[in-house]
Amino acid sequence: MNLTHLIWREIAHRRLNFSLMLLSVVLAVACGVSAVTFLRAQALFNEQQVRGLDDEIRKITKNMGFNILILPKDENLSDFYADDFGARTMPETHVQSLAASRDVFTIRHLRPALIRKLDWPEQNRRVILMGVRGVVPFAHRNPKKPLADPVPAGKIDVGHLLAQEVDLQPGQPLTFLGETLEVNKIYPPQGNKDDITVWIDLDKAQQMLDLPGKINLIQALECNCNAIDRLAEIEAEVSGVLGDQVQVIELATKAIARAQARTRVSDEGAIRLKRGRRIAGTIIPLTIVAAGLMVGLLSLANVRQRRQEIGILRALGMRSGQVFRVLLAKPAVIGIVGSLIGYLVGFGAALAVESGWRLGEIHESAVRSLFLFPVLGVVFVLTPILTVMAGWLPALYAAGQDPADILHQE
Amino acid sequence: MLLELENVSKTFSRNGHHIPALRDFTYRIEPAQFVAICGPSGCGKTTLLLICGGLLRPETGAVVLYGHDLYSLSPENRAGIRSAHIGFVFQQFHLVPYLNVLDNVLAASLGLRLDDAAQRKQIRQRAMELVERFGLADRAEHLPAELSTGQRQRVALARAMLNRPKILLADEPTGNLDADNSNVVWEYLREFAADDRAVLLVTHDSAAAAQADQVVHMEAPSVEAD
Repeated sequence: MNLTHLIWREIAHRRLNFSLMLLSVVLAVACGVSAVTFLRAQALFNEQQVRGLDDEIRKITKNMGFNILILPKDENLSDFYADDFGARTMPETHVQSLAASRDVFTIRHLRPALIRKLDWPEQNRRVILMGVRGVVPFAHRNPKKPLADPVPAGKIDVGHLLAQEVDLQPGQPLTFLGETLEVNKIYPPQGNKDDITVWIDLDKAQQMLDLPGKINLIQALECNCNAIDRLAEIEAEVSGVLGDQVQVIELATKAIARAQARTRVSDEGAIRLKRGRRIAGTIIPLTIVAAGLMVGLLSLANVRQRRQEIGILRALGMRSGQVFRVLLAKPAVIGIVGSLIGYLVGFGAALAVESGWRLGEIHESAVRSLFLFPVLGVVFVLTPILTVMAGWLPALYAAGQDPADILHQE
Repeated sequence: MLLELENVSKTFSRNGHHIPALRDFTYRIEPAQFVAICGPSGCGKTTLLLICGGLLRPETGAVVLYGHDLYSLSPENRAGIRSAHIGFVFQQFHLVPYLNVLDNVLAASLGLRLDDAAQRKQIRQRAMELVERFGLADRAEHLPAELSTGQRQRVALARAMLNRPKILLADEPTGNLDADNSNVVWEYLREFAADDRAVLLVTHDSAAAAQADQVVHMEAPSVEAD
């Protein structure tokens, strides 16, 4: 016979009291754990959603085109803005130099272009010719999905208005500056100069314009990074590779629209998560306080019920410290057992709800992604401490009772 | 000298009234004595018993048990003395409801400092002997609620005797028992006292008091207004 035996026998005897205390702890722990697990699931869902929306936005904003233009240093910007393209040229090798550099981070999707406004004698009209190549990948970065597709050799892409006026259809042959080309695609209306533009392979354009190895523009897309002065950074990186042979301009409207859209998506996820945290931050302390009160009140009821027993045990020579330990052991046991069961219930419930109650379809990867070891640690350490704290005053009250008073009254 | 009470006084205060339970009470109990304190309800019998048991500090006087001045000791040391040298038997038995007969007897050892397994084994052996001796061997695994009143009082007696105390303090031990069971209890108490120990019985029943070797009569105290 020892104190441990006494504790277990009492727990087994007063099962209802023990069960109610345990239930309140299990509910509080389960509530807290499920709230944290839901938040974790929400955070993962947000991340996934932001990734998905980011991709969507990337696709949508793809139509907005590139927002960084790298031009020859001697290009007159007034002329460039007046005509939407420049007359000066630069070597196409600039693109390869930039793509090969390890020091360029602020721009992506490099595309060389040779643009000229010229007459289409076969149709007797003025068009904008755009010789383009596919996006040149950066040698030292993970490949990105190209922002623009190349025009295959022997093919021509045509702007919407031009195709309407000349009555062109995809697959139809046409003659352009003496070359027979097949219509590759007709672009949807853009409401800008692109509607009267024709796109051909850069090599063919260089050949037609007698400008081999020359381009007059490198299009690029700035990264979605939070630099204070993006353009200055881009300029610094580009001039670090190409020296002072080029100048960089930014199509600010496009850049801002794209950045804002992506930031908005990310912010939306953060707002949802913050709201969830605020709700959990209210619910969890409330459940802890409620469970603590419940354990405290039930402990008090328990020690009052055991008044006579405490009196006789003290009369038999048990010390007040021993009585205190016996009475405190119960909340401690409840804290340990309650934290274990509560964790399993809370985590299991959160998993079940997250899976839409399709329990058989819960994958191990989902369990692993939602399981947070620190939460488990905090629950196992904090719960017994809190239950012992809740049972402390009733135990102190019981241990401090005068056995003579109890026996006198009995 | 086993127990010595020297000028012990105790007064309770309730609702502005002072109720003197004991006034300059002096008495000595030698080994092998069976003493009965007899008096009407409220005369201070139970108060005397609790004072002798080291549970209720008197206002004046000294209580010396087996050479220890009980109320000069710390509460912890007093609990140790109580565990080792004093046995209690009550009219209401006061058994622990969730412990079986054997564990209830062993509950008296919770206050002892049993350091090694041999000591624990020895005390368990002693408990089993007492359970057998009190005719409870077939009830050893039963809870108090499953016992008759006579059996419960025998469990309480066995518990009081587990640690081989020097003195057994009994408060109306046969108050709830029939004549046959009462005789069994008197027999055990006389046997206990005869083993060079002592029994201090408090009772309002003069027939019960007649079982003792010596009888001390107490009068009901007068209430003093504030």
